[in-house]
Amino acid sequence: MRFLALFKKELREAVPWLILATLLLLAISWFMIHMKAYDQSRWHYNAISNGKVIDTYMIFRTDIMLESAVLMFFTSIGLGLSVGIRHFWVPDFTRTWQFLIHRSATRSLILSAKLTAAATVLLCLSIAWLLLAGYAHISERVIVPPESGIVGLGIFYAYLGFIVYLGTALCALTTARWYTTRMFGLFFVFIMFMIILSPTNFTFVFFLTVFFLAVLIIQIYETFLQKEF
Amino acid sequence: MHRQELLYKIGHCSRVFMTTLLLLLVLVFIQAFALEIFRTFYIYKKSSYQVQQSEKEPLDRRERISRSERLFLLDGTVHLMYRDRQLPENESALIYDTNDNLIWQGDPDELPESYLKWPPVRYINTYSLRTYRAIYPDSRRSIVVPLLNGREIESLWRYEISGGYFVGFDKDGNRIGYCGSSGFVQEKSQTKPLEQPENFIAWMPIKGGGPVILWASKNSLYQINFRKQTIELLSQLPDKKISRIQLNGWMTLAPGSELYVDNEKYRPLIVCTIEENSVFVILRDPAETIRIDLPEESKVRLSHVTATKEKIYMRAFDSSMFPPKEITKNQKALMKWYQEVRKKPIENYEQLYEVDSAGNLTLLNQFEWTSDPRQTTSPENDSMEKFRKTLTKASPPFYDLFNRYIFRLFVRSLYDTNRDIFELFRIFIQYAPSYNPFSYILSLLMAGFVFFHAWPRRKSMAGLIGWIVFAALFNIVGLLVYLALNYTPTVQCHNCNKRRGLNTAQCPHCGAELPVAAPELNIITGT
Repeated sequence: MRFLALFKKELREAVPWLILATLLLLAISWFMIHMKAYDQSRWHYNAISNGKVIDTYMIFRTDIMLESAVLMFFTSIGLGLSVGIRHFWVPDFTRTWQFLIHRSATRSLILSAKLTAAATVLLCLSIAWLLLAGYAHISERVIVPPESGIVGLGIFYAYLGFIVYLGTALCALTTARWYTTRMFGLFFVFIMFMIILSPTNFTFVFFLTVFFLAVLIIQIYETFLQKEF
Repeated sequence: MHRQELLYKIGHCSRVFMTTLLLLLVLVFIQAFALEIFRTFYIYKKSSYQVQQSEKEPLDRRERISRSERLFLLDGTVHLMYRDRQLPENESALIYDTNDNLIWQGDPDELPESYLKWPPVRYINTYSLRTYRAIYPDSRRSIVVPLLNGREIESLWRYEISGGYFVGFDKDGNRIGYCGSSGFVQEKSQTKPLEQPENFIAWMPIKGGGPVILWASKNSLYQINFRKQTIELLSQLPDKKISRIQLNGWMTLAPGSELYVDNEKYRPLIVCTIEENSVFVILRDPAETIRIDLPEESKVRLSHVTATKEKIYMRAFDSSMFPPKEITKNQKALMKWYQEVRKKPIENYEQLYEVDSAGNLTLLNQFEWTSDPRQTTSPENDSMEKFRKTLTKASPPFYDLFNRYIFRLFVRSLYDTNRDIFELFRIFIQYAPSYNPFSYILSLLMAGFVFFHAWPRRKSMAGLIGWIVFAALFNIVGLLVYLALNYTPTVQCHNCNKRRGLNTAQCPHCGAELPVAAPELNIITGT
């Protein structure tokens, strides 16, 4: 029950950011999908004529949800960052301690509630992404529906948003000065992005992100249990 | 081990890993930045004047011959076509015979028809799907083949990477069929996957009935006609990898269009390179398949194949810069061989063979020429190398160990499969100290500093030794990581009067506990 109460409290604090991110994603992506659908039906085929080689780039087409995926990438990063700051940094833990005055809870419970709430928020964002993909599938304006790969990619981006959240949490929890190792949590996530955004196979990327996630989560857990508030 | 203690230890290891990785990258960034600054403000400035001077100097004959393109007549006679691309007034092609007599001059696009026409050297219309990016969305592109009726879309066929087949959609977005290696079918269950393409080219035949795609996967070559809904397996080599595809007249194109070849004169053919010295030639009119192999020990490299209505020809190239086969297996011997051969003038040979239907070769002509030795060093390169060596003195000796025991064994294999990850690891190799004594002495100094700093703060001997080894391996980065994660103030021990850290309750020298205030002590008045 205490966990549920804490979880709800953390979720309540994150919901405004989730609503903002979801609305942004849905509204702009809807517009982008319609633009792409229009582009699909009026392709630049005048360059294709009998007796000529077809330029390879004419038949390499981007997916209908490609631009939306880029938006999803930045939205999930933004959401992870803002929820991370809200949960751990500003206004520190003052609201958490107020909430716990008559509810005794262990440190593990507090941390678990925060992490679960953040995971739920990003899960909700990925549900919004799935709804968007569903719309692109059933829309009559779209000739070639989105690939299953790009739909999965959007969900993966939501997971990356969670890693950004962890990086932010680690920065907030560490007691080092800002000009020493304080921001290393976010720099570490940045390095992860640099590696995974290079062309490589998905399995490698997935295991790499799991490794980075484990490194961050262990440090967060250890720091949170040791930290003097 | 207690759960809390285990968590603390794993957490500490994670923190060490993260901090080390980041500081190593910071060091690499500083080194790369310094190197680029040096290159920009010192090297380029110095060399620009020299370049301007040399462009005006006339080329000597030897240099001109080595830069010329070899043209072959049907009887094997060789001529040399030279174009001076540096000077705009000399854009026209000059054709010389082997005695250096100018025999033709004019537009390079209007060469005499008597010369043999070969497949283009750089095949521009192929696209490797290996650049397909899994994460970064910008390059996530699908192959979508349009079937048009005038300018109206009739249907679109998209290649599904996950399933390995094409899915057809009509203009209303309804699925109209599937295309896999088993042909065009209505049901998904009936289709068999096409392998992912390594290369492909698409064209519209001159008589219509297209688009047609030549689909080259790792081992197979298919021709797919989306209008006629046919798929033809042109070649399948289960145990061999097709590394390169060249076409000459295979596509029936309009005269004057790019890649057009006159099929009245040349037989349509596809050349599949399967090994360095082995090609598979698929010919049409009449249909024929020929495999051409050069002897195993030969270091001659096959370059092109073409076929007139009467004969099949092959060009091959050899150079004294190509190492003998037996040397290529030994890396050290190969490097030594290169060092030797680079100092000498380069002997080059271009050969024209006639190929019979069994793949046997008859040498028609060979042209030999000598070019200047390749410059391996220049004053600019030497300065850069000196500066790089100075910079790498601050690099950790760990890079040398990484290079010897990890990079060569594991990372090098990524060169073909995961080039970017390979390049990422190669950064560390580029800045390795390469067993520079200064770097090792610096590392020992860092280890010594860590020892003197950690001695009064030690919690355990294992931890102390661990940090000393760490600092010795990672040089300046090791010291910074140690200080970032272990700095605690020291006080004088009330029992043994030695300096001791405040990170443990017991003094590391005498084991005395930290003094605690007496329960009755008033800390304000001290009474």
